Amino acid sequence: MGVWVLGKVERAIFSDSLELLAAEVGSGYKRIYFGHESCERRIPSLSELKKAKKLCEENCNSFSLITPFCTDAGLKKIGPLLKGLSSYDEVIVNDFGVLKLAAEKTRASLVCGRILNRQYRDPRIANFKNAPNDMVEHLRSSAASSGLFRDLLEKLNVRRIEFDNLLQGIGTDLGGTHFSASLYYPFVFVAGTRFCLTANCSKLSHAGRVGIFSCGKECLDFKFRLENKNFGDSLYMAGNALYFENKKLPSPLPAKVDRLVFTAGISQTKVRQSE
Amino acid sequence: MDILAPFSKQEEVEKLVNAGATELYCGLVDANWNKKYSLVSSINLRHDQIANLSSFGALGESIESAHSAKAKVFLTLNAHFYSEKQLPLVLKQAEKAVSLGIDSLIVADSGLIPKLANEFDVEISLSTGNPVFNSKALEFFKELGVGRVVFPRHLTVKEAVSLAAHAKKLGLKTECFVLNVICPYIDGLCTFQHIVEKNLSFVPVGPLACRADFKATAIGSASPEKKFIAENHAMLWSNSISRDCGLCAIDEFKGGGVDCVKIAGRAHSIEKKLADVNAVKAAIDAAGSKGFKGTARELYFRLFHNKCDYPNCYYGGVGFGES
Repeated sequence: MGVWVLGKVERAIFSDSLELLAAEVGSGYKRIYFGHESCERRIPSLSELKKAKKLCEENCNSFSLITPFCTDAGLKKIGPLLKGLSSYDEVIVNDFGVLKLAAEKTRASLVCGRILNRQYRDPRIANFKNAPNDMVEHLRSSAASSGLFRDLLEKLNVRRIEFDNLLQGIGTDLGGTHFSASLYYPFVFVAGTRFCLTANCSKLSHAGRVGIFSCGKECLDFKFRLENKNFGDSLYMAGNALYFENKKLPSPLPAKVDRLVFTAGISQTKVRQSE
Repeated sequence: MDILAPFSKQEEVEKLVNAGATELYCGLVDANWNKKYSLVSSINLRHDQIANLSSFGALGESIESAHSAKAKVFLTLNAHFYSEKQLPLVLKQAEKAVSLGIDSLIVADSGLIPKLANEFDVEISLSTGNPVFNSKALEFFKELGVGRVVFPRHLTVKEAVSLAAHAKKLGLKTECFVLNVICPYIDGLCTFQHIVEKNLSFVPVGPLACRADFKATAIGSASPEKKFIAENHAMLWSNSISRDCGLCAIDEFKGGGVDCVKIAGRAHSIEKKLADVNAVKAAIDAAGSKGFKGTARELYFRLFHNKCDYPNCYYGGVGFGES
């Protein structure tokens, strides 16, 4: 993926790998997104958070902690991390329970993550031909298109809303509002699961079993390219989530988008970190 | 423990109540919505007319029929979100349903919930289209005006029971799914379109994405043998048949204070709907007995004519010793 120079647009890099972030942070990124958006088992420890924040300080970068949807077990891990953030930091939330916890526990700014901002992300939508105009407009919109949803976020002191770069085009519908917007690229989140097929995937003893089971974080060693002619380019299974790649950024960027978030490492495996 | 059963025709109401359903739910897509947005952006997550009532007259008759038998009727308004232009139509449908005596509105859109709770004297059920996985989320939605929560399918039995206990403290009622249509992906976090099953002029026909026949290729430096095992596991849902069930969990749900068990399948035939209600009622009646798991497995066999297995189990093998 090339490096864009887009005026006042802030470029951020998103990963939960300290090694990957350390290797990439000098490539023009002004902000680090550290953490995981879809799996509570990948929520970083407090010591990892401190290392990531140190990396930011050394490189004069801004810091965002990104958090997944999670159970009470995940909330227990996130609580201490929230206390470790300053008022200059951000926390990206993808779960309303996490949003409530963050509103109570942190001084950091709150951001509505891309998973919390619902969009129609099926890559096949780009193939709809001659659909009714009202429907096309709706399929390009998001939860943030609704004033009721924006009012709710505003009451919770959320000032930034995040979006995926849909193949059918996107309307942020944020013109005339106080919200800023982020756009993720190139990997678009399509679906998440807790019936994770990456968990224990390489153990023959686990063959045929699917459900919510403990795992050996096989997602650090395996990712999958999924091919089916109906879906055009490949989908990627990265841990408990599915993504597709959209290499083309809209030009000009949609209204209020002042940050681009590079989703590093979705289609690659990486070196395991010490836990 | 209540049984919440689906219906899509008013004449099904009496039969389902007689079989043991105490609560019923439906969707309604009228001509006005269909003209503007079609079933592709359905008002209620079901993209087929056969799963929906098509008029308020039918809804009114259904409510009257259910109420005369002391049963309740819920209406789904559970698209993951509605855009600004859609909201007037949604609010109009809610207003009309409330005037007809609807007992609960099943809603997913977080922005819409407080609006409905403030404007109408009706219970709001939080749809699984906006999944609750933790106790803080329960508190959040309680504050928005929700009175009842449909738990996502992607919880363990232990997690569901723990959340139900917290919900009870908050004064929230809870529901768990127990039959039909496991979503491999979390309902509220899946953005695949179901409409690709249907043959609309502007939509290419294709498979349900979650059960499509994908070829998986492992990326990484693992050995060929490990990759072979992993790739096959990654294709577990490919071409899988939906014969899905959580009857075995009813024992723990009932003991753990879950208020209601829910049956999916609005588009199913009345014969299938009745068989489902009968099976769930039998499982509730057997809950607490020594041979409960065996009874539940027998009920599964009668419903699906097959033995249950992991890909069909709502709750990760609870029926064969795992929980």
